[in-house]
Amino acid sequence: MKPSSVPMKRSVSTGGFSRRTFIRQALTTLAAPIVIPGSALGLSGRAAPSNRVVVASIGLGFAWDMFVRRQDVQFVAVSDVRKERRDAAKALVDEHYGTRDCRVYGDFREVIGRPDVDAVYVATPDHWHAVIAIAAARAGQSIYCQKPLTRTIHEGQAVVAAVRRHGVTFQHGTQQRHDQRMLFGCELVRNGYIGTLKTVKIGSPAGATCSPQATQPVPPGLDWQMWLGPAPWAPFTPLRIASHPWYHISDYSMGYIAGWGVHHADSAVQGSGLDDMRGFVKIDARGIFPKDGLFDNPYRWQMHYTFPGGVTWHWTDCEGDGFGSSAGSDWPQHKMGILFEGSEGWVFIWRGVVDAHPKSLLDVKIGPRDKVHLNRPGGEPIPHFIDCVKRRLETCAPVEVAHRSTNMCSIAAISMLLNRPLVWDTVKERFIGDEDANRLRSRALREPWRL
Amino acid sequence: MPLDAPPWNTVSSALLSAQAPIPAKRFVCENLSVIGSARGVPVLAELLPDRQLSHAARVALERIPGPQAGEALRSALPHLAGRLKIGVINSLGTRRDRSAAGPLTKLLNDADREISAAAAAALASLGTIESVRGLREFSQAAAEAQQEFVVTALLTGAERLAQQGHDAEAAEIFRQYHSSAYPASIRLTAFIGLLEAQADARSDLISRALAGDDDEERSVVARMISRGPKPAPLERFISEFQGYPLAGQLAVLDACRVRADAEGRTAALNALRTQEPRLRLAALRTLAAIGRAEDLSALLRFATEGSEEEKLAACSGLAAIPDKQLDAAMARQLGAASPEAQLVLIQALAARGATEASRAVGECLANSSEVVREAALEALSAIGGVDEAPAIIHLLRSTASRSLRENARTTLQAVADRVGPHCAPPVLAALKDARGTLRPILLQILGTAAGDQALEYLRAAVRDPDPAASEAALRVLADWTDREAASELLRLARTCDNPNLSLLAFRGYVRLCGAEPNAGERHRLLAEALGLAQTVAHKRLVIQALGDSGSASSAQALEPFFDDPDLIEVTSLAVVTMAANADVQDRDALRPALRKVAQRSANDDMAERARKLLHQLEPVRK
Repeated sequence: MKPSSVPMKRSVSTGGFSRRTFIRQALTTLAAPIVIPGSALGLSGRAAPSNRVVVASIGLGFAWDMFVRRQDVQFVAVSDVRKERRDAAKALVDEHYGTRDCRVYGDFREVIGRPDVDAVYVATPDHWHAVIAIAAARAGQSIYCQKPLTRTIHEGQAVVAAVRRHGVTFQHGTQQRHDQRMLFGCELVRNGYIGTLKTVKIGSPAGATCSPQATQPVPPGLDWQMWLGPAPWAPFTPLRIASHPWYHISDYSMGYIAGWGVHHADSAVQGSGLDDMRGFVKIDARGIFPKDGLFDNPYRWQMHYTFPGGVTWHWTDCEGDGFGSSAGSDWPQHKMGILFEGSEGWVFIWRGVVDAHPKSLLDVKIGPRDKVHLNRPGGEPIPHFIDCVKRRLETCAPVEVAHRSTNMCSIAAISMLLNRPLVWDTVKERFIGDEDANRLRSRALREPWRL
Repeated sequence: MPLDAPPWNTVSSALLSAQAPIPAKRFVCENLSVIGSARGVPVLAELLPDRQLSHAARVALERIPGPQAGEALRSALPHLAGRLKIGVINSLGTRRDRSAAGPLTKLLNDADREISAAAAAALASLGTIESVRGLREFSQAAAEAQQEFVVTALLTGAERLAQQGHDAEAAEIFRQYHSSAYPASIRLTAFIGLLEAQADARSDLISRALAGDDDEERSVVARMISRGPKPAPLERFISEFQGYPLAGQLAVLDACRVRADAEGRTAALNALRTQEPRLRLAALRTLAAIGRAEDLSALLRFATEGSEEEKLAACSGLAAIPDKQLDAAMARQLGAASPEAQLVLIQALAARGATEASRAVGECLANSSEVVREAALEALSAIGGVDEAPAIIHLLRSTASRSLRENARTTLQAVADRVGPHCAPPVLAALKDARGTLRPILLQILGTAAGDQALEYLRAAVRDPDPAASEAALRVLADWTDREAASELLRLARTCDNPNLSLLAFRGYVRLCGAEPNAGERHRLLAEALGLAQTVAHKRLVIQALGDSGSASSAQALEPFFDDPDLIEVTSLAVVTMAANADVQDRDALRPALRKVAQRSANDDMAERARKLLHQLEPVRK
C-alpha cells in the first residue's frame, strides 16, 4: 500500500459508498482466523470478545507485551520493520493465547487498515510517531503513543489536530502521571504547602557520544527504507537502529532531552501548575554536541526557563541510576528528579519517591480544603488506557498535554541548536522575533510521507 | 551545532559541484533551511529533480520564507514524477502556498493515484475557498477508489476553512458528511467539525447528541462539556436532564463533577432517587465535587445502606465535599448516629482534616462499641489536639483490650508529635499516679512532646525506683534533640552500672555534641568527649562522630588511635570520611592521616580509598 491509502474504519455500506472497497487492499493480506479458542468466547475467565479491546502494536519498543497479558485485551497483530522481531513477537502472542492468530506486518498501514483494531500502541522511533498516530486517528483507532509525542513542534500540532478532529482516545507514554508519590508531591506544591513556588530544579539522564560508524550492508529481514520512513536517507549501520542509540541522532529524535527528559518535563509542568499556561516562556539553553561520530544530539545541557508569573526551571543532565555521562564538561548536574523550591520549603519527586522540607509535609493529607486535586488514575498506564478506550473517556495524558510537555523539550533543543536565548509564545506556538527559531519548528518529511 | 551566516559563493558552488560529496551537500541544505533566504532558492531548486538531494532541498525550501521558494516548488512540478513529485506537492501543502491551488487542483486528476492523493491532502492544507472548491468538484466525479482520500481531505480542508472564519462554507461540508450515508468514523469527524464551525448551533448539537443514541457522538460531547478548552455552559443540559437517556444523563453528571458546577446539584440529588444504580453512582460521585452540608443525610444513607460501590462513592463524597459547613454538620450528627453511621462520619472527618470536630470525635472514645472507639482513636491521630489527650490517656489506662491500648498509645504519640510541649501537662498529670507498663509509655510520650517541663520530669525520672521507668526515661533522654540534656546524659554515662545503658547515654551525649552547628565549638565538644570516654566502645562513638562531623583539624586528635589495634579501623574510616567530605584545602591538611590509613589499615578497601584521596590531592600540590 502507498501512504495515502489509509482506509477508514467501521463501515456502514450505504449509498454506493462502501467501506469494504476502502479496505479491500488492506484485507488482501488478511485471512480470517479459522480456529476460535474458548478463551476468545469468554469461556476461560477472560472478558468476552465484546468487552475486549482489540489492540495491535506498531513497532515493538518498550512494554508492547504488557497489552498481551491484559484479560480485557485481544492482541491481534504486530507491525515491525524487522522480521526477526515481529516473528518473535508473534511467537510470544500465539503462545499466550494458544492459537496461531497473531498477524505480523512489515508495513504499519496494514494494521491501520484493519477494521477490527480498536487501538494501536505506537512504539517506534520518534520520527515515525506523527505519521503513524495521524493515520491511526483517521482510521478511528485509539492511540497509546510512546514518548516523546513527536520529533518536531509542527508534527505535534498535527497530531493534536488529528486526534481532536477524529475524536479518538489518546494516551502519551509518560507513566509518571501514574506515580502516586510524584502526584502527591505535585499536589503539595500546587496547594501552596511550600509557599510560593520559586524555582524548579530538574535532572534527567545525559545523552551520549560514539565514534564514527562504518557503513554496512542492510541485514536480511530489515526493511531499511521503512525504518527510515520520513527521516532523511542514510546508509545502514547497526547502531543507527539500536535502542537507545537512535535517540542520540537528530534525524530520529531530539535526543535524551526529550527521549527521556519529557517524563520530567511533564511532571514539572504538573507540579508547577502550567497545564493551561498562556503567555511567554523565556528559554535559554546551552548544550554540548558531539564533535564527531554517529550521534549529533547534545549530550550535556543547561536549560533555564522563565515562565509567566516568574517561576523558573533549571534543568541539567545528570548521571546516576545507570544513565548518562558527565564526560566532557564540568557543568554542574542536578540530582535525578525534580526539586520544587518555594518560599517556605521544598518538595523533591522522583519515581516512587517524594521528599519534602519540612518533613511534616509528608504527613499532609490532600483534602477538601485543598484547591488542586490532580487526576490520579489508579494502577498502571496500560490498564488506564484500555479503560478509557472502553468507556470513551479522556486519559490522564491526553494529546494536548503530550504536546505541551514535548514542546518544553523542543524549545530548549532549538535554543541549544541556535546557541541563544529565545521567547516562546505558548498560545501561538511561535518564537517571538526569531525567524531562525521558527523555521526549526518543522522539518520536511522524506517523500512520499506527509502528515 | 550553532549556525553562522553563509559565505554565499562557497555555498552555491558546494551545492552544484559535481565533486562535492552528497552528505556535504545535505549538510549545506540543512544549514540553508535555517539561515537561507530568497538568494539561495535557485540553487536549491536545481536539486529538486535529484533523487539523492531532493528531500534535502525541500527541507530548506519548506522553511525559507517568501514567495520565491513557493514559486520554485510550483515550477518544479511539471518536470517531476513519482515520489519526487509527491514530495514537492507535500511541501507546497506544508507551506500552505495559496498560489499552488490551481496546479494542485489539476493534479487531482493525475493518473497516478498517489499523486492525486497527495494533491488532495495539499489542497486541504491550503484550506482556502478555492482549494476546497476544487476538492468538492473533484469529489463529485471521483472514482470509488479515490473517495477515501478525497473525503479525508475535504473534512480537513473544511476544518481549515473554519479556522480562517469561513464557518458557513465549512459547516456545509461537515453537514454533507454528517449523514447516515457515510461510515461512522466520517460521520463522527464531520460532527466534531460541525461543533467547531457552528458556534451558534453548538448547544443544539450537544443537546441532540446527549439525547440521541450515537455513543461515539455522545462521548465527544461528553468530553467537550466537561474538559474542552471552551466548554459549553451546562445550564441547558442540566435543565434537559430528565429528558435524556441514561448515557446522556451520565455525561451531564460527569461534566458537573469535573467542572464542579453547582447547578448540577439538584439533578444529582434527583438522580439519587432513581432505581438505576449507574445513575445513582454517578450522582454520588458528582456530589463529592458539588455537594453541600444539607446533603449529609442523603450521602450518609448511601454510605451505610447502599451497594458496595455506592458506599465507597458516598464515603469518598463525605471526605471530599469542599463545603466547610459539612464538618460541623457531621460533628452534630455524630453522637446520635447509628454505629455504622458513626464509623462513616469519624472516618470522613479524619479524611477531611476536620480539627474543629476533634471534640466530637474524642467523645466517641467513650462509645460502647469497640469498633467505634478504634475508629475514633485512628481519626484523632490525624485531627486530635491537646484537649483530647486526657480522654486518650484514660482509655490507655482503663482498657483491657490490647489492640485498643496499642492504638491509644500511637494516637497519643501522634497528638504529642503534632502539638509538641502543649501536650506535656496532661501527660505529666497522668504520670502522677501511673504505675506498671503505663509509666514507661507515658515517659515516651513525654519525650515526643519535649519542652522544658518534660525535660525536668525526665531528669528526675532516671532515678525512678521502677527500673523499667528509669530505663525508659534514660532512653528518651538519649534521643533528646537539644543540648539541654547533654550534662545529664554525660552523668548517666559515667554512673550507670548497666554498660548498655551507659553506652546509650554516652551515644546520646556524643550525638548532641556532633549536632552543634558551630564547627569550632563542635570540635571542642567532641575533643572533650574523647577525653571523657572511658571504654573502647565510648571512644568508638566519638571517633565515628568526629569522622562524620569533624573538620580536618580534628584529625590531629585521632592520631594516637592509629596505634590502638581496637581502634585503628574505626579511626581509618573516620579519616577517610572526613577527607571525602572536606574541601580540597582541608583535605590537604589530612594528608598525614590519610597516609597512615593507606599504610596501616588492614582493610584493603579502606586503604585503597585513602590512596585515591591522596592521589586526588596531587594536582593541588603541583
